[in-house]
Formats: sequence, structure tokens, C-alpha cells
Amino acid sequence: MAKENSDTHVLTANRLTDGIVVFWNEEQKWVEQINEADTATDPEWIGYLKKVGEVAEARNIIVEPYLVAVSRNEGVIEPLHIREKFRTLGPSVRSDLGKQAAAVSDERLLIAAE
Amino acid sequence: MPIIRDGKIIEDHWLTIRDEDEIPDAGDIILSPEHALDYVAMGRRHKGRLGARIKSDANPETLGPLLDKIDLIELEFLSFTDGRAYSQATQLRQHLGFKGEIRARGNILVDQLQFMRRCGFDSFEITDKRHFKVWQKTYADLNHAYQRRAQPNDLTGIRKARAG
Amino acid sequence: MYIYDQFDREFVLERVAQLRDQVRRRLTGELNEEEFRPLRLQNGVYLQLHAYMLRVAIPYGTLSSKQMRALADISETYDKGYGHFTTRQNIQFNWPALSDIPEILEKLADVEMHAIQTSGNCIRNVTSDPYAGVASDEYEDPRIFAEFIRQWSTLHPEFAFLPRKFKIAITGAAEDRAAIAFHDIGLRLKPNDLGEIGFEVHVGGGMGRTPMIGQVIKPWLAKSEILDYLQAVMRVYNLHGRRDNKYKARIKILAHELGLEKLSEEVDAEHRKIGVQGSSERQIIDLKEIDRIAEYFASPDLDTQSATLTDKSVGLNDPDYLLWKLINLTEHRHPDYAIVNISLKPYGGIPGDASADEMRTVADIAEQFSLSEIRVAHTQNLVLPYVRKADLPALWRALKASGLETPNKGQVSDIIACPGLDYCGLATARSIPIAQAISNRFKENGLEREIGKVKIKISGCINACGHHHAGHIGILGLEKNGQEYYQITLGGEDADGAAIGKIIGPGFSFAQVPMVVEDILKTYLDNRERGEEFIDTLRRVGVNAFKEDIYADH
Repeated sequence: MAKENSDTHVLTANRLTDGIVVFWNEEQKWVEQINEADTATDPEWIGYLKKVGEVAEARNIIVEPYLVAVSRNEGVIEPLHIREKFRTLGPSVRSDLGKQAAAVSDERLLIAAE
Repeated sequence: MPIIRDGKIIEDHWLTIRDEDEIPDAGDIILSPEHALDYVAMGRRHKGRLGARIKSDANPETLGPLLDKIDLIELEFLSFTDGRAYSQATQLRQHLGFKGEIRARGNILVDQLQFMRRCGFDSFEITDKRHFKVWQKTYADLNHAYQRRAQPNDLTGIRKARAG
Repeated sequence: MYIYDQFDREFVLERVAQLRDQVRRRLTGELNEEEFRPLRLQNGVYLQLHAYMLRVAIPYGTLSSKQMRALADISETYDKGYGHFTTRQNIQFNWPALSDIPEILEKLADVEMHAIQTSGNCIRNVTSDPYAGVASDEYEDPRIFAEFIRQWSTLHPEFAFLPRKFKIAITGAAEDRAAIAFHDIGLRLKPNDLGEIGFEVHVGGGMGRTPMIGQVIKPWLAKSEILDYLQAVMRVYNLHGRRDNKYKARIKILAHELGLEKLSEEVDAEHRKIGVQGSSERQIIDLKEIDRIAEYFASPDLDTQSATLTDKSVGLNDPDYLLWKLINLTEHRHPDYAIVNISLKPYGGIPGDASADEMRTVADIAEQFSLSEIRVAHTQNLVLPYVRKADLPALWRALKASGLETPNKGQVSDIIACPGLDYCGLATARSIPIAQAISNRFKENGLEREIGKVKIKISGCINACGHHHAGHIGILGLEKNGQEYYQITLGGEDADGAAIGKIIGPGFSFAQVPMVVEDILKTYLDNRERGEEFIDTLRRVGVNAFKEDIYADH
């Protein structure tokens, strides 16, 4: 992996009420698709993200916040580790479930709207 | 530390005396088992009641001969996930026949109250004042249990019983 | 099967009310996650890779049509329309919201089900032989004592915070179908020299990072003593099991570190104390109580059950039907009946998963043909225990109409697989697609019949929930340099003659695994002598012969 990529991180957690995997976006707050997440590359921002996670956990919005190392190519954010990759997609054996399905249906809605 | 006992918050008069400390002339004192054994062997001169604190990895049997001279035994919960004191309490109540007060100290959750009572605990040290009301309310709850209080093995005849 | 009485019902409802309050206090923040975690675990609520997961208890794998329908309804209302049957005879839902859990538990309580103690450091579901009560080789129905132990262990106040989880299995037949050798405590009901039935007690078996086979701590224990003895074992474990290291906290480690003899002495000493004068703890189980519980498990009067209308037009010579009969039936103790195995391993499908519709189909079929009773096997399949032979054609047609007639019980495609990295937060690799790839490969090469019985088990990480250590062919999913890779073990066994599989060498890529499995089984076919199953040939020629064949090609 290119060195600069391993410095890029997003903040992730599970929503307390339903356990769904979420990512932090400063404007939208907690989003369900990683491509909408804010990425941080410098230590100050990364420190900020950590704080965001702690506060949100203390406020009982999310549980188990942590930073995920990602690569970013244009609008596509992808975790570097396979576990984290699957976490952004859903079960590979049920393409009709999880975020992968939501992303597809989001796309279809966009196409239909055009 | 506030103590809850019989559903009420009470003041704690017991003094914890470390092994290296002097024993006061009067007061209710809690000693380690070794210290307590020495103290009683030497004649036990203070005015007041005697208690012992037993660590989680200690065998309550070490108190052996003292058990009918002690009014209080404190058992510790190093973490609320550490379940050793439940067994220690059960042993004290069962084959050791201890009749005095058993107190829970350390990291305990109100959700564990029923379990502790059923193992023979009488009193509980509460570290967080915010939880007083919850503790008092929970104390009053009587739950159904398959195992009779402090007699966890009794399946016959208890199935219609309620704990407490 | 056991029916709740008033007490049982009130007990479960109380527990639901408690959890409802605990969830409320969690959502408002009165309880933080650290405090809430052991409480939710005591009610089977995990946080997994994609969402929460709820594990519902199916005591000793027995459930009714009514209960199965309720599970189907719950999967549709609160989840994504399916459930997963596990290697401990339970069912898991993969997508419940925490805020819905109290309602789900209420629905479960309505049909006498719950999720109590299906996770956490407490005594888990007591598992048993899926053929209990109907197997032809049974000494005594183990479910009677499974029910005793279930009640005794449910919210037992002394053992709610053990060093680690505790799993008990009990069997009552000549053949062990409950994998007792790999449990913390394995109980085997068997006759002594005088023909009296009692317990052979095994301790310290387990899977995970350090697989171990249980040892016999008590060769024979009178039935009436079992609860006192278990009390003694649990107490010794609770007091002396390691709490410093999660991976060394099971009783198998304590047994290993103390040695069996010392452990046995400690347990006996504690057992004696339980009987000390003045103690009211000792409770020899009253024979009346044993009889009372036994009544629930009494064999229904099978002779007087009238055969349901059988459809003669099915064609009793249908080769698919005949194959299914050959592979998926097990001998029943009653000559006119059969035990039917329903495979949840359709070719290329997800092992152990069932959709809501499939659950309802099984419920209906059980109601019509099996006195409304269903069993869950630790092999992640279902069982119908009371089927009249005369009803088999009609039953098979009903299964076939819903795609539940896969004739592969115990065959190469009857694979046990944990959820793996597709679902589990602990996993290092995926296991389900490996199972699918193997299953598809053997559908293609047509060798399944030829090969016959073989147990393949797949785990997606070293926690070994797929029981790969006990597979004839075991597959362990690991990760290296961002890629999944798989280690193969050979020669494990979960039944009598229990054994831990041996690693054969360096691991293989995802793509290579089905070919490697094919090679292993071709080596078997090349070497086998008349009548030998895979495991027999393996034991005779040794793992090295297989190792050489595999690594010669890869």
C-alpha cells in the first residue's frame, strides 16, 4: 500500500439503538455509507475524530468507536483491511442484505431520477 | 461509604483497620483474617464488634474458629465481572454456617443485587450516590428463582417459591 | 417435550421485564456500555460485524411447530426474514435492533422461549442428542436431566459471573451424538456393571485456541447426585479458574494446570462439604421430581397414532425419493417409525440458514407428520423425531415442494460452517463461501455418493465455533497480508473416539480450498479398502500419506 494511504482514516462506530455500522461526517453526523465519511490525514484531525467518537459514546449515540485506515481514490473510500472492507459492505453471501444492497438501491434511485 | 441493608441506606460505623495499624480501644473494626486470628488469640481487648475482610482469592475457611466471634464479613468485588465472592458467600452460609452479616464491597451493579442476596449477602456498599433510589427500589423486588435463597441446589419444592 | 407451568411462565416474563428496564436505562445512558454489556450478554445479545445479533435458546435442541412458527414471524417482523441454526442447537437472528429486543423477548415468552444465558460468562444451553427419546441405541432419554440442569443453571446466583463461558452436553445412547468430549462438562448416561443407569462425567473438553478432549473425572455417578456434583465442579471452577487471561479462562485450562487428579480431589472435597451436617444445601434429587419431569418426555403412544393419508401417487420407486430415504433417515426405536433428517445444506447454499417460509414449512410438516415436534442438531440440520414409515412418501413430497429434500446427511456437502467474516466481528476469514464452493464442486464432480460419509467443518477464526478441530477434514480461515487463507486439518472426530485434527501443512488460498478437498477425498477413494469410510482409511494409512498427495499437487 502507498504510504500516504495508510495515514488516511475515517471514524466508525455502531449506532446504539440498532447496531448498524456508521461513519462520521461533520455535516451529516453519522452516515451509513463509508463514501460519505470524512477522511482525516493529519494527526490533529485524527485526534479530533477520536474525541468525536468518545463524546458520541458518552452521549449514548454510538458504541465502540474506532478509526479505520482507508485509501481514498476520487469519491471512493475503501478500508485497507479485509475485515473492515466487509464491514462496509455486508455479508458477501447475501448481496441483497446490508450496505451493499442499500448502495445499489441508492444508485438505482439516482438513475431513475435522472 | 453508604451501605444499603434491609432496603434502607444506613451509616457505616465499621472501621477498616490495616494490618500495620493500631487497633483502637473502641469501635466496630474490620481486620484481615490473619490479623483477626492473632488479635483474638491475644485476648481481643477493644470494646466493640469484630469483622473480617476476605480477599477474592482467599478461602473463607481460614477464619474457621473465629466464625462465631465475628459479626461481619466483607467480601470484595474487584470487578463486577468477578464472580468469586458469590461462591465465598455461599460457602460461608452453607457448610461454614456463618450467621453474621455478609457485606459486598467494591465494584457492584444494582442488577446484581438479587444474585448477591440469594447467595447470602446482607448489605452492600454503594459507591455512586446517584444509584441510591434504584438500589432501594430493586431491593424491594422479589424475583422468581429456580434455586432457593442460599440453597442454590434445591430444585424440589422450590419451583413454586419466590426468592427472598 | 417440556411444557412451562405457571412458575416457568412468570419467571420468563420477569426476566423480560428486567431486560426491558435494562435496555431503557442503557438508551437513556443510566447504564454505560461497560455496565450493560454483561447484562445484554446474559440475554444473548451480541454486537457483531454489521449489527446486533440475538441468540435464542432452544433447550437441548427440542422445539414445537408453534415455536418454529413464532421464530419465523420474529424473523420477518424484526429481522431480515431468516435465521441461522447453530452448532449448539440454538437459533441466531443477525439484524435485530436493540430497541426491539424487549418486544422480541415478549413474543418469545408467549411461546415459552427465551434468550437467557445464551452468551456471557455463565452456564450456556445444555445440548443433547438430536435423536433423544427415539434413537434405537438409547439407554435413557438424556433430555430429562438436560431439563433438570437447565432449570438448576438458569440464573443460578452463584454462577452468573464465571471466569468464562461454560458449556454442558449430555447424551444417553450407546453412540455419542452430542459431542460430549468437546464440552466443559460432558455427561454420558450409561449402565454400570449392575445395569443401573448413572452418569459418566467428563470435564475439560473444548475447542478454541487450545482444543482439548475432556477427561473422565467420575466414571459413574448416581443420577440423584448430579446437581450436587455439578455444584461442586462449578464452585471449584468459579473460585479457581483463571481470570487474568481470557484465553486461559476455561475449565479445560484449570484441568490441565492442576491435573485431573488434583481437580477431582478438589471437586470431591467441595462435594463432601455440600453434604456437611447442618448445611441445607445438599439436595439429593427426589425420585418423584425425576418422574415428574420424565413425564414430559415420555414417548407418545406411537402404536395408536393413525397414519395420515398417504399419497400413493408419489411413485415409491422414484429414484430421488429412494436416495433421500437411503441417506436422510435414521433408525427409530419403534419398528414402524423413522427419524427424518432435514438438511439445511442445499447445494451451494448457506449452511444452517432457514428462511421464514422454510421455517413455516418445517413447522407444518412436523405438525402433520411428526406430532408437531422438531429437533435442531449441532450439525446445523433439523430432525423430525416421530415419522411413521407409511407417511414418508407424502412427507418427502412436502419437503421437495419447498426445496428441503437435499439428500446429503453426513455426506461431503453436509458441511458445518460458522458464520465467519460475513457476519462475525471476531472472524479473520469467511467460512460460508468456502462451504458453498466445496458443496458446488462435489455437485459437479458427482463424487458425493461414491465418497459417502465424511465430516467437514469450517471455522472462520481460531475461536473454532465451526468445530473444525473435530472435523474429519477441518478448515480454519486465517488472514495473511490482507488475504484470506485456509489451514487444513485431518483426522478430527467429535463423536466416540474423539480426536483433534492435525494440521497438514502450509495453508491454501480461497480458490485452492475446494480443489484441495477434492484431492483429499480422491486420495481416500484411491486407498480405501472395502467398507471403509473416509475416517477409517485416514486412520489406517495415516495423515502423512494424504499430506504427500496434496502437497505434491499444490
